[in-house]
Amino acid sequence: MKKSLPLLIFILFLSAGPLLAQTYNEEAKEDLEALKPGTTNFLMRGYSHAGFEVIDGNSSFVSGTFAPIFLWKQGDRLLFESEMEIEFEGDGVQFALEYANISYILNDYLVFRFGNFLTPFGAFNERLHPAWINKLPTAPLGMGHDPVGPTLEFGAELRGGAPLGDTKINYSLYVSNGPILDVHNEDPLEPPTTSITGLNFEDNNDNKAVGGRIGFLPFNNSALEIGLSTQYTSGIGDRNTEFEDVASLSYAADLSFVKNSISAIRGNIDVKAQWNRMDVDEFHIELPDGDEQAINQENSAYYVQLAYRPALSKSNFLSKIELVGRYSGIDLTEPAEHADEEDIVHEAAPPGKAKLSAASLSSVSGGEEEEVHAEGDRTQWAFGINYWITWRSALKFSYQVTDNEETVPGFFIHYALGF
Amino acid sequence: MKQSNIFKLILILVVTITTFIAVGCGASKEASGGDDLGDLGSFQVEKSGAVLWGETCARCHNAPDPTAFSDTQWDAIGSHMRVRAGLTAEETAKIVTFLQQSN
Repeated sequence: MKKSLPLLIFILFLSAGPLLAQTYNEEAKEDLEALKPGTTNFLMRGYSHAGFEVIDGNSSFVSGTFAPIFLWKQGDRLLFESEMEIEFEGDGVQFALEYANISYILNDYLVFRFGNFLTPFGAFNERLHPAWINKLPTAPLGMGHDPVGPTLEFGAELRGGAPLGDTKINYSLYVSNGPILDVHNEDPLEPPTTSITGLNFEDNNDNKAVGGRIGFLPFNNSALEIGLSTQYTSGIGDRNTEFEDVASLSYAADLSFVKNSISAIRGNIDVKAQWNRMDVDEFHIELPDGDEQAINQENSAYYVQLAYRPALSKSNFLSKIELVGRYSGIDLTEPAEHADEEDIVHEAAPPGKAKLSAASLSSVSGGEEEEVHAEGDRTQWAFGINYWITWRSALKFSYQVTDNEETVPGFFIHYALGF
Repeated sequence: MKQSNIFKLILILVVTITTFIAVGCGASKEASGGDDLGDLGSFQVEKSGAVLWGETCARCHNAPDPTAFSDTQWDAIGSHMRVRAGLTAEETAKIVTFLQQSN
């Protein structure tokens, strides 16, 4: 017994270490388990921008926009996303809900989305509009405020992506409330004003819009994407009005080419282009004198943008510089010529005419047609130099010239931040 | 010439030029940034998460810094981007795994 006692003590000593380590490991494991997230995953992201602008000689600091994005993921298949936009506009703070929807992953190539979502019409509206992604402080003509084509949907969508042989495609197909045709007559002495908006959160009729986008990536490295989009609605006017069956058809083509680390030019090249078109069936509005005028809407907008960044430069400063150039334009329909006398319908307005907000398109007085557009046909050249502080924040310096009936220059210094 | 026709001509020229650049660059050796592609080979070739991260994210914005977010945050962001950009499950999983391993 005495001879085995030292051995026993030695064995106990050897055992103490592992026993203590196991206890420590279990405690550490418990601590780690306490930090382990559950199946609910919530994250807030978003973007903001602010700056200084001089437009047509008028200068102002602009406090910009705060756009938080809320992501809530439950398990592996369910995702909720929402974006708000909070900005100073006019004499107050404006709040807007850009989108709020739920996505359910059906399989490896298909997602079902339901709610309020950005229209997959072209690429700019859905993917490129955030301040830290758009390479210039302003949106291309017809792609930002007062856009040509749909931008927001209240509906249901199937979308996804898949390999297609040696290439790849992505796709979206949706049904939604569709756009609204507003015909508004505030002053009976003035012609009615008309506008088309996408804020159709309580459908104004029983006609639904059907649309979609397909993107084709023909290169192995996904450098090039060509997209085609369309949306059709058989009626966009208010229920039980003469405008209920006014149909609209929109279509768009978009192109994106991005190639990084090109040794021949010591940097990255980024080309973006898009063309939007919206056609609305001809409809008639009643003039103050009882005559009717035909309204045609065949509007289009387009832009081409080229960006170059000398990312392979040996200079750390130059490698963060980006040069951007963009040409954009918007073509709005000329109001239809005043109908010939035999085509004029002299009758009272039908009942049930909606009272809605509007923006003027044209006015007629004294039998002669005046072409007065709220926006007007315009083209714009914009040039910018960006300095990328981080991958998601940049200082933007840009100069743009907008041509309408007058030439309007603008100079911008903006700071854009994604978070 | 109408502005719409000018735009169409510009668009055609842009597509043509960029196509030539893409094909030409694909035939040349480029500095490696994880970009070892440019050929028109099969899309089914297995790509690493790092390669997909460089190619896919750059379609819209700068490729994100992996250290910007935690593992759970990348999980949520990956799902958000999968829906927004029309990515497949495999692409999303590879990119998210790469970002989680690199942060």
